[in-house]
Amino acid sequence: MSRAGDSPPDFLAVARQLELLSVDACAALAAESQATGLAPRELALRQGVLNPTQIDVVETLCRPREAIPGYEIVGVIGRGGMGVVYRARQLALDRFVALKTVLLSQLADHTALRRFEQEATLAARLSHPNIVAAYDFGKHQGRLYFAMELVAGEDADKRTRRSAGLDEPLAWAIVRQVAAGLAHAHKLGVIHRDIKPSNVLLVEPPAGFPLPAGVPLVKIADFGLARLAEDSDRTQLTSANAALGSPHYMAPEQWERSDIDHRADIYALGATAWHLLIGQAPLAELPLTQLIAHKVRGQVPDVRRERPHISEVSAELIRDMMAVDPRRRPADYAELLRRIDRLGLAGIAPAGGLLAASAPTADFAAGETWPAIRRRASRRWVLAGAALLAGMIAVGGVAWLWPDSSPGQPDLVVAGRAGNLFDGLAIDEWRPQSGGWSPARNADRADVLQGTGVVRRAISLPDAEGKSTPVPYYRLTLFVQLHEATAAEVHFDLAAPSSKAERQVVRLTSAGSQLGRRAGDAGELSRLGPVLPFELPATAVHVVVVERHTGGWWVTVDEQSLGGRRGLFADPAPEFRLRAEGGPAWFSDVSVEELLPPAGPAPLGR
Amino acid sequence: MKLRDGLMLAALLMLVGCAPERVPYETLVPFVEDAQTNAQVDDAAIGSLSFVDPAGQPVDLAQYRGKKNVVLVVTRGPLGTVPPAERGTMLYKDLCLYCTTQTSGLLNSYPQFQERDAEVIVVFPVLKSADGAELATFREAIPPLPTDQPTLALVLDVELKAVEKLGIRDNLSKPATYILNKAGQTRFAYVGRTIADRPSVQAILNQLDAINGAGK
Repeated sequence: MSRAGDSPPDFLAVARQLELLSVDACAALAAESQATGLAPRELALRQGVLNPTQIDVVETLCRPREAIPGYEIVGVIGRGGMGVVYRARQLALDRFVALKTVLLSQLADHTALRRFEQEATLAARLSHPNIVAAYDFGKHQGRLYFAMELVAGEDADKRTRRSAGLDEPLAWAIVRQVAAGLAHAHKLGVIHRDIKPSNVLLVEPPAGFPLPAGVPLVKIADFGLARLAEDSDRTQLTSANAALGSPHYMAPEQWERSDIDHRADIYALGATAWHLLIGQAPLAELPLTQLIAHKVRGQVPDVRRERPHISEVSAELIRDMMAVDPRRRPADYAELLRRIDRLGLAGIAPAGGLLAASAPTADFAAGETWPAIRRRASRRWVLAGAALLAGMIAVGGVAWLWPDSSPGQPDLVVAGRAGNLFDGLAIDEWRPQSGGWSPARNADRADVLQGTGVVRRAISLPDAEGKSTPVPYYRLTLFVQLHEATAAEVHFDLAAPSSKAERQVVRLTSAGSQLGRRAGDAGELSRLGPVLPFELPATAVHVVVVERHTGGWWVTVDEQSLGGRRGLFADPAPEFRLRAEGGPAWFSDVSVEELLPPAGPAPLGR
Repeated sequence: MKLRDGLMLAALLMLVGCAPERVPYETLVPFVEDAQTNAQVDDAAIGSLSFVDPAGQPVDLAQYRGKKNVVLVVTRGPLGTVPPAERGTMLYKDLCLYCTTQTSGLLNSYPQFQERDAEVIVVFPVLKSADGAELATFREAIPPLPTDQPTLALVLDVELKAVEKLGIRDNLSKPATYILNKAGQTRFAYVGRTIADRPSVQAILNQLDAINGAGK
C-alpha cells in the first residue's frame, strides 16, 4: 500500500498543467491525501479521475530524465488508446526525437511483448524517405518505448479535415509515396498493419527534393507498433470503435486472423485513398458491428457516389485495392505503383530520385524500363546507401542492413517436449572441449555450471517412448552470470559437431550483449550488430533465449530482442556450446522447449 | 495555470510530502540483494491461499499462522514461458523443479531459514490439462529429497488460482516473493519485472532478521 508522498510533490501541479484535472479536483485530492495519508496518484486512480495512462504521463513529466534511460522528456505530442508520444531529447546525440511509450500492463501477455520486440527490430531496419525512421526501442520500468524521427508537419487526417477532401492528383501523389514506403518495408518482410490517414504524415520536402510542386513529402508513422494495438487488451474494444486501431481502414481478413500479408496494407491504403478524396473514412457513420458486416460483404460505397466528379479510373483502382478477396487486389506494390502512374493524372509521380529510392527494383517486373533520370537518381541513392553501409560497418552494425541476414517471421510456438539440461549436480551429458567445467554454487548458494573455456551440450530430449532424440526447432533458455569472466558466449547454429565449425554467437560482456559469428570454438569473432547495453548491472543474472524457427534464429537477452538471423546451415548440428573467457562464468536454468507449428501437434520431421 | 491556483496547489502539495525513491536498477545485483517491497498485498487474500503438495494434499498458508514465518516464493512456472493460448500437448521429460537457480539457492540455504523460524514454500504455477497428465508429471518432478532432514516445501498452484488472487499473472506467473510474519501479516512483497528479477536469498534472510527483531 503506498502512502502519502509516493508521488513527487508536483504530481498534481503537472496534472493540472496538462489539464487532466481541474483546480477543484486537484485541491480535493490534495486535501484527501493529507487526511488519509494516501498518495494523490493512488487516490486519483481509485476514484477514476485519472486512468493508468494519464497517471503514467504525469509521473513521466515529473521525472523527465528518469522515465526512459538516455532521454529527457520535454513535452507531450499526443495521447492515444495504446500509449503516449512525447517530444524528447536524446541525451547522447543531443537531438530531439518522438518517443512513444506504452505501459506493459496494457499488453495481453509476454508473447505480445516478444512479438513487439521482434517486429520493432525489423522496423528499425527500414530506411526510406517515406518512412519515419526508427532509432531505438526497449523496455524500462514497466514501459515499452520506441524512439523515432521527430517529424514536423501534420497528418493526412487533419489535412483532409481542413479541406473536406483533396483533389485527385494530390491524393494519389500522397498514396503513391505511401505505396513506395510500404514496398520498401515489404521487401524487408515488414507489413504495417495500421495504414490510415493519421499515420500518414505530410511534411515540407527539403529544398531540392524531387517532388512535384505543392506535393508534400510523405512519412509513414508507427511501423512496428500496430502489433501492440492488436496485442493489447481486447476487452477495450467497444461498439464505438474507440480503442482497437482503425476498423474503417482495416482489411476484412484482419478481423479474423493475424497471418495477414502485404495485401492487407494495400486494402488499408485503398481506404486511405478513399478518405483523402472524400474527407472522411469509408463507412464512417456506421457503428462497429455494422461496419464489420459491410466490409466483410464488400459493401463499401463507390467514391463516385460521394463525389461524382472523381474519375472512373480512380474509383476503379480504389475498388480493386479494397476488394474483399485479397487475390483480387493489386498483387504487389509494383503493380499498384504502375496503376497509379497510369491514372493519367499530372503531378503524381516524383520528378526524379524519389521514385528510384522509393520503389525497390526487386519488386518490379523484369524488363521494365526506367527513364534515365530515375537511373541516375538510383545511383545517387546507391552511393548514399554505400556511405551509410560503410558507416554501419564502422560501428559493427552491418547485420542489420544485410538483406540476407533477415530470418523472416518467427513461425513456431512452444509445444511438444520440454526439459532441463542441467540438474545442478551432474554434467554427464556436457562435453568439455577446453578449460574446466564443473557444478558449483554461486554467491546466492544456487547450483550452477561453472566453467572456463568451451563446453558443448546436445539439444535432445526424451520422446514419448523415453528415447532421447534431437529437438530440431526449439527455445533454448539459459541464465548467465559473468562472475569472473570477461565474456560469456552461447554458440548455436553450428555447421557440424566440430570445434572448428562455423557458428553464430551471443556474446555477453560487461558492456552488454551482441550477436556475432565464429569460425570454430576459438576462431576469430565477427561482430554482427551493435552491443545492446544491459538494463541490469553486468554482474546480474542475465537471461539468454535463443529460438530456432523455420526461417532462422531469434535471440533475446534479458527479454530485450537482440535480433534475428537467417540460419547459416539448413541442417545445423543439434547442439549448442558455452564459452567463458578470462575466468569462470556461471550458467544455470538451462532448458529446452520444443517449437512446433501452431496448428498441429505433430513434430516437424528432420 | 493562474497564480492563485498555483499558490493553492503549492500550499496543498507541501502537506503531501515526499516518498522514498524506487529501488534503482543499479542496486540489482544477482539476485536482488537489497530488495524492498514493491507490491501491494491484501493480508486476507494471501492468508487464504491454498496449494497442492506433490502427494496431492492441500497446503494452506493459514496452517502456519501463529507458528512460523512464511517465505512464499512464486516461481514463473516450470519452463514458465509457455503462453496458454499457444499450448499444445506438452511432453515434460527431464524436468527438474529443484534445478532452477532460485530453487536450488533456497534449498541450499534452508538451514539459515530454519534458524530464523521460517518455512519456505516454493510455488510452481501449473495449468492442468484435461486428463491431468501434466499435473502427474509435475508431481513426479518433485521427488522426495534424499534426506531425512526438514526441507523447503515445493507445491503446485493448480490452474493459477493463487497467482490470480495475488494479481501476478504473466504467461504463467511473474516471479514473486512474499514474507509473512507469524501473525500472518505480509511484511515483504516483491514482484519481479523480468524472469531474473528476484530477491537474493541473502535479501530474504535480511528481511527475516528484521521481522524477528521487530517481534522481540
